[in-house]
Amino acid sequence: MAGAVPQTTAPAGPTTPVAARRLVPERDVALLLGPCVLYLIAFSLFPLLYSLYISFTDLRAADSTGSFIGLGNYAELLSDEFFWNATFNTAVMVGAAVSIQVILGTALALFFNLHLRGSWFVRGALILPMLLTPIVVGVMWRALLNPDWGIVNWGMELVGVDPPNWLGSTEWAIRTLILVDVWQWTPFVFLIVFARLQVLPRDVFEAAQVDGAGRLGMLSRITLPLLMPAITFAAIFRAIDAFRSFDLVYGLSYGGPARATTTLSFLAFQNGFQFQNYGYAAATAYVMVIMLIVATTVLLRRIAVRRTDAP
Amino acid sequence: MDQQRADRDDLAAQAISDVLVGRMTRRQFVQRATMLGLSGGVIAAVIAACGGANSSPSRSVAASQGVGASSAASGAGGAYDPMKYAGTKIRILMTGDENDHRALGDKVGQLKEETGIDLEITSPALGPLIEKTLQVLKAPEAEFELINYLGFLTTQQVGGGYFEQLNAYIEDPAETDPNWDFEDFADSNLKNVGIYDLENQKLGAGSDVYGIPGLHSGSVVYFYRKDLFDAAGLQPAKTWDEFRAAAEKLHTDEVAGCSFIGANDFSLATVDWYTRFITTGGQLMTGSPTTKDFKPNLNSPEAVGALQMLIDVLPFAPENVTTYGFAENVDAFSTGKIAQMIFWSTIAGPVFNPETSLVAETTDVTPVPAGPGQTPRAILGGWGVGIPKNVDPAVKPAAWRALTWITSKEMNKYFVEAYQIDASRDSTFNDPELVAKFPYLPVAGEANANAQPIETTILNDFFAMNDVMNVEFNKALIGDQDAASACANVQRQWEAILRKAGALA
Amino acid sequence: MIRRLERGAAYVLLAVIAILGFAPFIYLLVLSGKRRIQILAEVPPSLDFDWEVVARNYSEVIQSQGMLGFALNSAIVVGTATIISLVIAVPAAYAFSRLRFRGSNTWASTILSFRFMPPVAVAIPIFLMVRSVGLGNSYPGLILPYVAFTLPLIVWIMIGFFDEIPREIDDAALVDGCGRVEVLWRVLLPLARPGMIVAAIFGAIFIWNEFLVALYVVNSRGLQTVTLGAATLVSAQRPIDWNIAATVGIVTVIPIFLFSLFIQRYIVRGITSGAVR
Repeated sequence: MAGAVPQTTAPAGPTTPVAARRLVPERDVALLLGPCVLYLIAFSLFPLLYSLYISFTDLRAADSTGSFIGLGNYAELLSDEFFWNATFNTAVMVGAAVSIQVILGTALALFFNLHLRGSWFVRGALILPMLLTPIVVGVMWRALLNPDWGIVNWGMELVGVDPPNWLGSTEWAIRTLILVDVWQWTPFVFLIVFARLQVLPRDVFEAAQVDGAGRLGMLSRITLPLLMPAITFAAIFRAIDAFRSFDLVYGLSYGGPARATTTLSFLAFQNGFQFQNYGYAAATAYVMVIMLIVATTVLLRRIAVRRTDAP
Repeated sequence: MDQQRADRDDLAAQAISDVLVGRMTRRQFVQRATMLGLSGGVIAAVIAACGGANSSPSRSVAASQGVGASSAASGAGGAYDPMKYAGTKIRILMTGDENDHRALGDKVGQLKEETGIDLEITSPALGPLIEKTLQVLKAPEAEFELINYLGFLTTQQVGGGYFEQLNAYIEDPAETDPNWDFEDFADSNLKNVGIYDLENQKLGAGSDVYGIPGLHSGSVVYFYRKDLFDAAGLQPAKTWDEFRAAAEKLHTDEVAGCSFIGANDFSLATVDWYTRFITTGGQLMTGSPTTKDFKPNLNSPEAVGALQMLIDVLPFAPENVTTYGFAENVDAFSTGKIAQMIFWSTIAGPVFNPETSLVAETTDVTPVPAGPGQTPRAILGGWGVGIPKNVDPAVKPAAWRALTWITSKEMNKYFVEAYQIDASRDSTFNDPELVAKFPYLPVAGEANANAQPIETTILNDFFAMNDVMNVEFNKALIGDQDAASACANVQRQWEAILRKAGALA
Repeated sequence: MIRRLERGAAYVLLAVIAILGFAPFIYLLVLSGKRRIQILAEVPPSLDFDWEVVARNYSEVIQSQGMLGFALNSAIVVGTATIISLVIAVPAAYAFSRLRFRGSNTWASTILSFRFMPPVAVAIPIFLMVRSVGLGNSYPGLILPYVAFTLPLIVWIMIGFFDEIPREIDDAALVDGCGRVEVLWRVLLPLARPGMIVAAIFGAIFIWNEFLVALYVVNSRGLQTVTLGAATLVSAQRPIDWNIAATVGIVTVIPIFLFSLFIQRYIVRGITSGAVR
């Protein structure tokens, strides 16, 4: 079919479809891509640059014209103990939550790959948490973990375990936040890994079985390596989303106690939206943007490459 | 000791008979009675017994004199015509975080019926509300004819000179419903949200009125379990020592001897700490931002002592008190797990409602405890309503008409009756019909009258400063630091904030 | 024998997972049928219900609190924004999938990276922009930024779906003399419909849950979305009506649950398309 196309202008490689290589009139590209690019410039890039500008001012709600203070906010940020506290909390939260999600999600995927009867329904329930509004998730867990009447503490006491002070101690609050994030987002990792499992070539496993590989050996030498791209993708995606999320903290712990669950996102929210300190909040958010740009350029390359590699 | 009590009971009996025969106004009675330690229930019963016979005579006289004088002045202004501004549309910006907007929403139809004015309600959450208010006040053209502002921000907003002075309207009988009764608003609320001396930038000074208290106000009262106190032979605490002693005595496995806001929550500092602080002689700030010597006194013995009081009652508080914010305390108290606590009077509604509380019948309220020689008092919350200066002058009288209608006695009563929102008028706090239904009202009214605004509200950094305090105090309660170092940490951080804001050299 | 034991153990594990997965929702469901005071006083909550209380909770949420209206607002905003996003994103995704042009990969990854923008970084500027053009507190004021939020995601998903459609198909159409736009419209769109459904679902979920921008743009109860309605129920300085909060939870969860059973296969497709194959 492809060979029938008369090609005169573009140099043709032997195997690629002709149309894909043909040099496209720029008008076509502009027509197809233009609206999207313009829209994002107007409603994503511009706000982002606007935010950058605000971060160089001492703008507050009280005086609508902030004056330019250069890198003042950033300098202050570096000496702000709350900023470092939030950075630490964010790192702990993202690191712990994503590692647990990856391990649990992969285990779940392998388990559901047994295709037990009735498992499709359970899968449906597992998808549910990640579709929920984080605010509702937060409130729901506040009810479950309520120290006075929550069902979780009641159950633990029933079996003789002393329940921890879930949201009240600085030590436990961050763990609780991680726990809830794990509850909500493990399904995401699970789904991706599970989907990948479904399309793994069967013959590899059959060959390995013939070679006499044990089940553990198959898992570590064949299954996991084959799943690695999916796991990496899920981990990167989750890490970035956990890094920038803010509504779960808002609904669950509001940053407390004693700022133990204040993440960078929540700190920016608090400075900007609660204290109306826009300049400082913008600087906080911008440090996040910079961290993200670095992370995405490094990490996304791995994913983007995969796109063109795809069969 | 017994003799003292007997004397007190005599005085109380005297006060009750005085008010019943009309020698004392209800307001004076409440003041006297709370001083004598009468409980909210008794006070309420007496007031209800008085019926509508005497509604603050001294005040209504003052009001009618005022009206008389100004009606002469306005001359040809004509009589009050409720439908004068029919057909005008008035837009109000108010909070969407409380029930006020729902209560007001219920009444929009009635407003239209009685005045012909269309009221359009815009009600964002607190953060966006503050932002939006500042923006629209500064805009050349008004987006709202009425703005409901948080009392904590009066200095920022009224002090900025953005609101219309209202004295001329108040005094004009052609523009103000004769039943509206300006004198009926509690002085404390007027001084918190309405009266401002622009020239000297002083909140509550002079007689220039820029805002009307509403749609609600509120302060802090002392909730205690009458049944438990009676059984133990205790009186509700009048001092903080008594509070602690009662907590210790009443503490059991089922019922905590006392509670407070121990979580990292707005009210830890503003309710529990601040009340103890000011009623033991503490003064939060000295100097003034204008002279750049606005200095916090968090290192004072009173400041450390107030926090230490909370730490000292930890053994008699609920096990998880350091996670108790607003909601948890209300929940635990209404299920009978707390013997006593001081709290925003606004929770009295749910606490005294058998539908939402197991202790509706056995709870009572009195003013908060206080140190020796101190008046029981606490922080003053609440809101004000004003007309922005940038409103079209032709529409301002209609805005005033709507303002008076939504801050009327009837509306204030409806707010309490339907939603148990804290009142902002003396007459509502003492309304016999309401008091019969909600016996805590007179005590709440008294607390409201004695309450004082927290000194840091005059700064834009109020919320940030309060957050610092809550975090450090919460840490002290958790046991991460002692009271003195918590206070020292607040002092240090506050000084830094104040320096940055230019309020401290 | 051993295999059988294993099988049995696996089913036990499945049951445990199912219980862990459903339990929080069932707890919420139980709480939504109680009076507030029962929730606080009865631990664990009993399973006999007073149907009058159930009815009262649900009618309070749906009627008095206006959840139905909030749901309608959410539906209008989410529906419109998703459709606009698709209209803009599909041609772009097509271009990335089919056309070779200079900087194509850079453009693509730049667009995709907007998917990772922290909401706190842009919420205030967006709000200021929306207001300065007079769209504060209006449907368009929410729809315009929401389109921008979902565009990258939808472009990303659609690129994956276009890549799956054999190029020979559009080549053939091009030979027949169709223009690019015509090829996209007449030939590829019908083929890419499943992909568009997936993309729409993902875009919709994302917007449905958005909170921060809505918090600032929306000022009146009449325009509140479901997320905002849920958030105002639990503001900090107020007693929480746990029964009402639980009912709100259930009211928002049930449609999503039914939706998720129905769209399960699309969700799996959406999560995995364009990235892991």
